[in-house]
Amino acid sequence: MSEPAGLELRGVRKTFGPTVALESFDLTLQQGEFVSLLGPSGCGKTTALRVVAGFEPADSGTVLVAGTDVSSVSVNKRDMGMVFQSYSLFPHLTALDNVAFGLRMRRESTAKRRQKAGEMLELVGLSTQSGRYAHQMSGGQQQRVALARALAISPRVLLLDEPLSALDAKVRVSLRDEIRRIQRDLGITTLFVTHDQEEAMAVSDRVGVMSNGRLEQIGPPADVYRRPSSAFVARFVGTVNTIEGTVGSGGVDTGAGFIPVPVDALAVGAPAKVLVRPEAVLIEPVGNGGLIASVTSLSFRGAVTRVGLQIRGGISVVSDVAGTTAEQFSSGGEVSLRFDSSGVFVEPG
Amino acid sequence: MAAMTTRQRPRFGLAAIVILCGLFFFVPLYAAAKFGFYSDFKHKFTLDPLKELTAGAKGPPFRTSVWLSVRLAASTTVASLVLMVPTMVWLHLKVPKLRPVAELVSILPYVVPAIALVAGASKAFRTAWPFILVNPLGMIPLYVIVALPFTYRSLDAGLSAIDLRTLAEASRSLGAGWLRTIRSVVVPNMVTSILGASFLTMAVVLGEYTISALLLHTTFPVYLVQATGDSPRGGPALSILSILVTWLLLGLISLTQRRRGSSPIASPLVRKG
Repeated sequence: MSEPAGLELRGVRKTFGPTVALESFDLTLQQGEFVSLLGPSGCGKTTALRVVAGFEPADSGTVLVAGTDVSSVSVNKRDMGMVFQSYSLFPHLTALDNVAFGLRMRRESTAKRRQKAGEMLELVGLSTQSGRYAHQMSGGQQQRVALARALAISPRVLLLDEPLSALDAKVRVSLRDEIRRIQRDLGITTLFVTHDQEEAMAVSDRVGVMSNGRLEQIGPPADVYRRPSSAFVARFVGTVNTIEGTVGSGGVDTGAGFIPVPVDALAVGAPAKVLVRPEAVLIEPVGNGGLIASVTSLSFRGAVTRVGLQIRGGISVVSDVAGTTAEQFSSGGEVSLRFDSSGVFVEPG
Repeated sequence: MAAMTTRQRPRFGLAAIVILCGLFFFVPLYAAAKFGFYSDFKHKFTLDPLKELTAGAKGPPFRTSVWLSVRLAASTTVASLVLMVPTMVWLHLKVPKLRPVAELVSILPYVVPAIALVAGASKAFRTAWPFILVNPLGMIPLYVIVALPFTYRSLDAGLSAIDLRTLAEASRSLGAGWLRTIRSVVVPNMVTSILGASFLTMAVVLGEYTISALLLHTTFPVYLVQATGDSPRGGPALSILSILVTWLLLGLISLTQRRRGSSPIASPLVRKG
């Protein structure tokens, strides 16, 4: 018999008055898996997390943890650790007391509470801060303590509700890597809610993209990025150039020229939009064939340079050029442009 | 120079208003203190009128009335907090839309005179539960109502100052039930407002006259009025003393707030058993 899923949501529906926050929502996390829910504001990702935690009762559907239905179990008995978006440390307690709080609720002995809380603080690298209060710590430190507090109770599921969104960029990156390291070490099933696609891509085993209370697509980050199931996913995960045109034989005829791309599902002559990832817009010096475009801007971004291009017909696209290749181009100059079909998608116009 | 003059004018005006208000407030108190604590003949400070009044030689016993008022104040405070803290938490978390309605209800005791409250209670309970009117502690529910405007505002301010929703959800996700959450997380983070509500409730009860007089219970204010008839100097002296005690309570609130502002209240959960 196979191991039950670490967390499962089956046909969950949740409404707030006339607003449908979740509709026929299904999600399965394997034991020890790290899954991120990604989506724009109001798509229902936080509601899904709150339904799992028990803060919001679902109108219908079930929530299962390790095969057990917990839909009607109260929040304090669900055995889930949660880290919140806003700083949630209890202001009247020290870091150590905060971490020990959940153990105290479980009536663990003083010695065990002290030992476990100390271990957890060590795990998040804050053993020297155990006597500090929330107002004496930085935002990053507070979220580390909150993570230690959530983990101290050895929860069956760890829920992360945008825990990094209030932190500055550098701390956000280091803490997200730390969360992933700890999650891997402990092998804890984790559901992470974020609106930051880079964050979700960087740490997750799988990423679920949500829209209007539904899961549009779920899969490994590379799959979601490279093979988006819809234009919404393509646009939300990463950047895309949009070029309008008409479906032709074996491609789309656009104002910029003919773009060869699979169009099997579309009727010839129907309007269509071609979506192209910036890294799939390949540019070379003029003379190598392809479309002719003029360079409008060059924006250095570290590992890549984003090149702004204007194709004839006034169509603007951007291209991400890796390494030092972009140095051979200059603003106002002309380049030859081709599309890498692996980063091109078509949607009906 | 002209700029200085315009800057100084408002300060001068403000100082004048403060001085005038101060005189209006303190001169009667000074007059009462002078009348109560100074002998006409010797022109010296004396506690004789106070001793005469509190000795219990005349009228109802002083100690009994003070003890009754203290018991009523303490019981009313406990009853108010036990009733109001969970209710306010529930109001803030579950039905925040009803807060304006609750606020409106909380000021009703201001507009409903105490005499109307007593008349209503008398009519309602005289036949069914007369012991409520006979027993002095039966006044506690009425005092809870009278103190409601103060209790509500103080607790509301305390709850609004903390991120109640996140703290409560964090506590519950860690395994605490509602009562435990209120006791271990909410209350420790609103100590100042609870103290404020407590002291204000005590001040209200210790100074309340109408309800106890109408229900024929001799609380401290009732005793004060009765005794003043027998000892014209002792009454003002005792009034001044009770005002000083009230100020002391308010001073304690202020001191607690300052201390709380500079250092958090430690609650070493780990060390407790």
